[in-house]
Amino acid sequence: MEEGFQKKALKRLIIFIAVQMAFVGFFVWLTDPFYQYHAPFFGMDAVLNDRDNQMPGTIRNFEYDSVLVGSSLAENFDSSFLDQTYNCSTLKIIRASGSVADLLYYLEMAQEERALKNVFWCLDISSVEASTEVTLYGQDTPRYLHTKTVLDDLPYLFNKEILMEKIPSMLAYAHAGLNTGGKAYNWARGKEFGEAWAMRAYDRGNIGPSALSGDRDYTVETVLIAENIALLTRQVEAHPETKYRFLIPPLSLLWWDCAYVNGELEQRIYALDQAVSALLCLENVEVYYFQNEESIVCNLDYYMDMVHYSPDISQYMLDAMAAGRNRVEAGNWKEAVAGLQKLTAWISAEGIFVYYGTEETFDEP
Amino acid sequence: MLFNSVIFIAVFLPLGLLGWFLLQRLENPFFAKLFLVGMSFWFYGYYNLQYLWILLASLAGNYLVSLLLEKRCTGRRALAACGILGNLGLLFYFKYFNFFLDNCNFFLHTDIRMEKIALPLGISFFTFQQLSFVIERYRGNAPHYSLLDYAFFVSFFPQLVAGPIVLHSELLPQLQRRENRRFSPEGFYDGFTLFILGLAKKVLLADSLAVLVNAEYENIAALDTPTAWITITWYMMELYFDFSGYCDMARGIAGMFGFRLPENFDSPFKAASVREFWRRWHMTLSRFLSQYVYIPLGGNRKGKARQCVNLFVVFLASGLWHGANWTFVLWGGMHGLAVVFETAFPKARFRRDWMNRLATAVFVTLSFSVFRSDSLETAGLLWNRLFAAGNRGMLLGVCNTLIFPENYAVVRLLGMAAPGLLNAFFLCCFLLLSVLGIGLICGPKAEEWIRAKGHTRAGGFCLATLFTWAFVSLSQVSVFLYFNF
Repeated sequence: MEEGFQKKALKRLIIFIAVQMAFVGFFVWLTDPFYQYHAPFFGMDAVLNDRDNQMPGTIRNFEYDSVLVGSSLAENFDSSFLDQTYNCSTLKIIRASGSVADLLYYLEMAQEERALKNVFWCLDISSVEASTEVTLYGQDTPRYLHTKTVLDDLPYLFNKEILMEKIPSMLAYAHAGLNTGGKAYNWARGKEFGEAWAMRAYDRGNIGPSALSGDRDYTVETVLIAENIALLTRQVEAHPETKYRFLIPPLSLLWWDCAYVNGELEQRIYALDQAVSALLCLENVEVYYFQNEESIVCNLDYYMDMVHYSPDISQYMLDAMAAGRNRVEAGNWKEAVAGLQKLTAWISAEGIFVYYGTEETFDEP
Repeated sequence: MLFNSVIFIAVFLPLGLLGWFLLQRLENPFFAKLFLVGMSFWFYGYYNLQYLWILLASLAGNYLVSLLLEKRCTGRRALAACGILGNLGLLFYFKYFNFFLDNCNFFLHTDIRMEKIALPLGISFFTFQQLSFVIERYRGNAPHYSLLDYAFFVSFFPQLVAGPIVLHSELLPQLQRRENRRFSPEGFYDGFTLFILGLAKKVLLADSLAVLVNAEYENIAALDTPTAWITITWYMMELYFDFSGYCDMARGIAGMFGFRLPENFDSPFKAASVREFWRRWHMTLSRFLSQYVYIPLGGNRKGKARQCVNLFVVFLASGLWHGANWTFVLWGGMHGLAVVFETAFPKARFRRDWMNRLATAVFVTLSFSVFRSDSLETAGLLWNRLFAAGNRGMLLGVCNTLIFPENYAVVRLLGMAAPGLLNAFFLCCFLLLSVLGIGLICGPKAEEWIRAKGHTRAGGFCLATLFTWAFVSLSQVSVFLYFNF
């Protein structure tokens, strides 16, 4: 075949490829489902349904002056309620594990990007006992999510899953008005709450209270708890201009009984006590405590598993915070801890048997 | 590094081509060769730098043998034997030692434990390539090359990790030919288009077929007879497009650099006998085994009985070469028996050619089901499913595994709007992929298609679309742990 003809064919092939690739790249940039480059164009609502992939982009590119931080326990909070109540614009910062280190990674990223007026933090007790290592950028995490450079963005711009799954999903969600505005990352749709569902998540086993040998030694864990609390307080102290409102969510009686059965009850209460005590010493902090709400904690109709409560409870907590109810201060915190100890003792001795039969039905060793 | 990766296509390949052709403008080709050898080492060491040391040690050892063969007139036989044993020893240690130890423990009732030895990428290929070189050096059929040329021959990245098994006489004269140093639009175009078709075969077809195959091989006990047959047929197609795609990519990349690698794949399912199948499937391995095992054993020169034994030994070796597991030995043995049968009874054939082709295809597909199995036990279970599991109406369940990004939107839409149609849709996907796969296997080879249509405007558009589609298929959004809490 003559050389001129080959050259022409080669040129044509390269042009075809360049045009197609440019089109694909431009389309992904325009729709940008992970918000890596910009907030939605054309007044479209931002669809937030893929927290781990969307979080870094939203932190970098969205407009906000407040953040709602937490684990899945905070995911169903209606952030538009916070916007109206506190006259702010709130971005949800959610990490499934809710570990302090991971959430602080995001929070510090947000503080680099924007001046924050408010931080609303739904503080999961177990997060205070989690590892202090950031676990966000592991081997399976796309690198481009956490870097600002476009040089590593090829796997995002030219990605079949982004093109054929993420973008169509995003458009469909936007069309249906799901996971937009205050309902970002909301997982409650399609979920069932109630005793039957909650109890499915907890197999108590054939254990009566007297069969247990008591609490484990948790000296080692105290170090980790102290490190997490130090991380938290350092963050708060470094930003005196920001108001921090911590919400301590109500975990169900199943969770507390599980802690009791595993010999970890004292450790859990210790962690909570240490964290809240340290936070209450700081001027720009308010703490709202819901663990003493017996009518919620001991009623499994509000839960879908040991910890995840219904959207009604999420809203109840926001309403309470807005009205200044459920607030604990240095003066009444010890009383609250004593109340928790009493409640958990009652749960393990009596409360749990409302759902798991009476103690007498167990075979004692 | 993999050919089907973003780093290779977007960074390594353009950089390699640019450097190679720019350095070719220098009078002395030394720098261009050095550059490409360096790139090949980068390619090989990309995932694990330690493997590079093994390649370098093997390369240095064989080069030393070649050098000594050049300098010595006596003791050449012992030297060549050392070279051959060294290569086989390296292969044994990295590829077969774990297998050997496991079998010692099993048969001798011992409990010797050692840390598992990782198998370096492509060791079977570069070892065989160097084995052939050492033998040819001993026979006086190969000159002693410069270290750089030899390193180029062994490490040339398009053929380094999965073949074809190239002979020195095929590659090095091309490297030394002056006219090969010039950029040729024709060679580049043909190479690039062959690469695109290979990439599409691997990424779009083989990887799609693998979705069903992997799911069903995980679940053999639950298969019924029709789905077991579907699974092994799809595996055969997956392997076909995987290997054929790789060979096309390797030859295409080499073509872009101005080199021609030997053909390794020639429409194997057009073969009318198992013997012919092996003349079309992994052709360079068959050539190697024929030249360096079959003929030295006596080939067909010592009577029919001995020929049959020789053939069987060659196929056992081929099986063992493919992997250190009894499944590969059994697979090799099955092919050996088939070829021995064809040799002993050349007239035992169907009258019609298409029937011979079909019988060959069925035999090959059945034998490759053993090849894919993790153990003889699994293979046995699979064969039980193939012949004695009855029909439990599981076809639709198997088809339901076919969820790809390409059909994601339709699946979601149907799931919400008309769930009753989902099964029919998955069945359509299954039929479409089956027909496409079989059609391409029976159709013209990639190079024939390029010659016929690849240079037209429509052909160019199709190729560009395949490239874009395959390229966007290389990246995946990772699935995060704790996705739902």
